[in-house]
Amino acid sequence: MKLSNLALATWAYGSLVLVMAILIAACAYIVYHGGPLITVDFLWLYPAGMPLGVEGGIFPAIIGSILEGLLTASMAAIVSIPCALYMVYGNISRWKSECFLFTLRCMSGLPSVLIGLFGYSVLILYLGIDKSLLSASITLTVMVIPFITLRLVKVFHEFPRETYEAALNMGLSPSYIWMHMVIPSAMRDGLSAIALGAAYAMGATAPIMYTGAVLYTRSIPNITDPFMALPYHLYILVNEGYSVDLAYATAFVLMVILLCINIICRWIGGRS
Amino acid sequence: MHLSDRFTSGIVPIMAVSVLALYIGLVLYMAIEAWPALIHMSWMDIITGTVWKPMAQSPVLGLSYIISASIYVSLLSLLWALPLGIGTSIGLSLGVSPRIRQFCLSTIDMIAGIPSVIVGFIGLAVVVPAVQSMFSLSTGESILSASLVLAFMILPYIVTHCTESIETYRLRYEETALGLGISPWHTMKAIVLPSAKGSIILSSVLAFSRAMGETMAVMMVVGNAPILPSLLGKAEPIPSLIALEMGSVEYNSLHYSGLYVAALVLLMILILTNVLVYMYSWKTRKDGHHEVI
Repeated sequence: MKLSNLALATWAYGSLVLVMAILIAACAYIVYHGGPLITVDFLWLYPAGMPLGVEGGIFPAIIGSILEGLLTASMAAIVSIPCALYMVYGNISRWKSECFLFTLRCMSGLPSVLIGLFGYSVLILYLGIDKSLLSASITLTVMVIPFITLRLVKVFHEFPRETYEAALNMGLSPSYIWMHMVIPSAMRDGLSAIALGAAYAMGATAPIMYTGAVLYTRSIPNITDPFMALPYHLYILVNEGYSVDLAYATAFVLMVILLCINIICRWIGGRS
Repeated sequence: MHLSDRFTSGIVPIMAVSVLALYIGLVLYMAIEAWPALIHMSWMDIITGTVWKPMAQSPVLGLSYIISASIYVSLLSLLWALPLGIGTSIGLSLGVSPRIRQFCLSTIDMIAGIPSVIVGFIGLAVVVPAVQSMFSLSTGESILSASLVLAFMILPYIVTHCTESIETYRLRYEETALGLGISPWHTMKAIVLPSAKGSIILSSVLAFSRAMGETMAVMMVVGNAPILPSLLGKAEPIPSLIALEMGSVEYNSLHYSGLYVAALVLLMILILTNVLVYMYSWKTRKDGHHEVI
């Protein structure tokens, strides 16, 4: 092998090994430090101690994060599914579809802090809605719509065009074909796209910091109540220096929840 | 036509158009909210001003240290992440079997799903103390730590994109090159990498725009002091500024509007990079190549 090719190979293998090692080490670090601290009490109790959070558990934060994920996913699905159907089957001009794609691609990279700022000033300051699970979920929905829609467009494109046209020629209406053929056949991949969007929303901190997440709640939140969320709880524990141990444990729980959603979605997506 | 049919075929275009309207509205809203600050001080004064005192009697909104901190951190993180990322992509494309490649790519993809607040926490627990003891600083919270943490955040993104474009070109030239007796590594160096150069540059531009907007991970390790950024000193990038001050601003004050100017800078960078990428992919499609990004 020539020297320059050897250098290229060394660079390639070296960085491959290094990158995989760094990425896996980061996960292992959280598992190593957080894993042993997980107890039944930690998962089932409310935060306690003074200041709140130095003792006790994170039960309301787990429930809050899950509720937030579900609410965001359902709102985003209601908007994203019609939007994706329109982009694939709406018979729109090339120019229009480029316009949609460009906007969605651009906005899928929108920094989460800008979404937080937008949500906070429109919902809380301008419309005067109280900080709540609902306002936080609406803000997160704005964040995940492009993410979910772009994936759904890909999923809907997989439905054979010939079948769609054959069905149209048999006199079926487009909406009948969507409801009875396209959506059922895309159910599995579509749901996994939406679940990935929910995982993305559940990990975000900046959008919910001022739109609904709080330090402590005394009960399971209603849709109009402020709520506790795992990422925000972790941020407060670390930033205020309350308890490093509980921060490791909280990070572990959050990471396990999100990785589980990711693995399940990829497994489902990989099978079809 | 059934009623339900009419409902569905009516609601679909309405939803789609309102999504478009939502995002265009978001951009316009940011511009409108930034307007009072832009009247108070001119664009140039804000971008070149060094003093950020939004609460003073007559507020001064100089963003230059804050913008340069953002650019500094992002460029530095690209400096760490690009060589590693491109090397990894070459390794994945040539060096390993398809099974291992698939395994590595899915692992990387999954790790990209780790929320930035956890990455920031790891950074605070590992990177900050390491930087602190290595350079014997009073605190390790610095641009250097932030750029290392940020490099971790954008690595998966760079690897995924680069692997995709390098694979495209490798598969296109592989058989011909092997037929001519050229070794795969030489083909990679002489043909594949030069052809994929454009899309690699573009994915780094996109990664740069991601890095500029990354909030939590950077905010937790950068120290958040709006001073002249230096490698081993504290700094405050745009997202940290917005996230930290958003909660305490008075609605419709100049401070509030000033935050929107900062937001507008981020938004402009995002839109600009996306336009760049769009123009490039449009040009390659017109030239009859496959779309690579």
